[in-house]
Amino acid sequence: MKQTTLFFATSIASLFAALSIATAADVKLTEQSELGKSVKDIPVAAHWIYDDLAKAKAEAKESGKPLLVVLRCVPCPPGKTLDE
Amino acid sequence: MQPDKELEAIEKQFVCVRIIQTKGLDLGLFQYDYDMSWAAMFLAPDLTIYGRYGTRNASGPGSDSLLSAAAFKKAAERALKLHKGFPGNKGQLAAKKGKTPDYPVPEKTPGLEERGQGETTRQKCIHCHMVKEFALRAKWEAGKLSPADLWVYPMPERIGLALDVDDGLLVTAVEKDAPAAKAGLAAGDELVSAGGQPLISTADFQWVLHTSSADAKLPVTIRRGGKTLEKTIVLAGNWKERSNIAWRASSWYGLRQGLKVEPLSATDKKSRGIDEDNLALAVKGLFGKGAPKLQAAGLCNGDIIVAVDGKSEDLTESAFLVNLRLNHGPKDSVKFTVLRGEKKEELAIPMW
Repeated sequence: MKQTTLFFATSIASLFAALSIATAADVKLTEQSELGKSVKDIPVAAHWIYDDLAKAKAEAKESGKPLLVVLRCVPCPPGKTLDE
Repeated sequence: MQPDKELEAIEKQFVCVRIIQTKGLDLGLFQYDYDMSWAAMFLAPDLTIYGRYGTRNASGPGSDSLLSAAAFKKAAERALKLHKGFPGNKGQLAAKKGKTPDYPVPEKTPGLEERGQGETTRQKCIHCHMVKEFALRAKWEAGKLSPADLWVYPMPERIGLALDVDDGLLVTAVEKDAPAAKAGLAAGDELVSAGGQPLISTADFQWVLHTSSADAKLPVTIRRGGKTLEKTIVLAGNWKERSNIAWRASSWYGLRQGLKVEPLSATDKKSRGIDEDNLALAVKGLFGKGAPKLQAAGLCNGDIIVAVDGKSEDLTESAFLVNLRLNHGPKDSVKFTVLRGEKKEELAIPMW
């Protein structure tokens, strides 16, 4: 009985996960580096610069905008709360 | 970074960059708790630091319990306010930058040089925790490891303050008789600045505690019921020490070298005939480069360490690891007394 419940719960969760991926697919994403792909990093929205601090510094200097630098150790499991 | 319209609107006021490895990172500028797997820094276009975000005090399932999207948003909003006041507030922000580090970039740290060569691949990534881990190891090998290297980024609890996880700066409780209570801080207060530095998050307050000397009078500005008040927290003694640091990934190579131990419960101690106050650390794993030396010296998984150098004072895993590294150098040998089944064994283990 418990296993059946778990199976249905998992199926429903998978369905919702699939739906949210479809929604996320509408969002423009930034291209990841080869390293990002190899560590299976999450998709990152297009307003983020990917793993290129020099580019971000230059852009901040030019635009006068402040910098937000996220330092993420992707292979380490902690931190998923904020990635998700 | 998944779709969230409110957060996206805040993010778009910044130049946002996601860094996934630390090779080449300017360690003079980017000083944060390297045991975070997700940390953020907010900076002015000229690289003046507005603040930090990201707090952690556990491994395993509790690793992310102090991370919050709400607090991250608040930190970003507070950073934007500082940006509006910039450069007029530049002087107040100066102490947010740390001292010159031992190594300018991670790959200059002994043991990480090879990872700095060539293209960065998954295998050659320099993880954030490695920055601290290899620096600790180098200090220990040079006989220069000190308590200040180990107890970093103190939690506000060390001075008797509990801060709201979803706000970062809202005081939820003050421990009776602790330095924060003596300074007159109370639940409901909001921390505005400390040590003259405007704060954006709990991590920012930890930075102030981290860079403060152990004996200090720390000025704090708080908001209470619409009023701004000035208080002084008097810090003295070893308040930075004795907290648990066994959760830190930097302890793996720096302190434990592959040795994982876990204290026995009171019930297990009783069933094994070990006194309640006696040391009893069960060996739960021998990993990595340190394992062969431990195994060669006779240490096995499942052994229960009941004395170190003849001392049987009860210790947490953290205190055990810290004592080993602070009391012994690389050329020393340490004596473990272990229980293996019913048998007691004495093992001479060269520091590894």
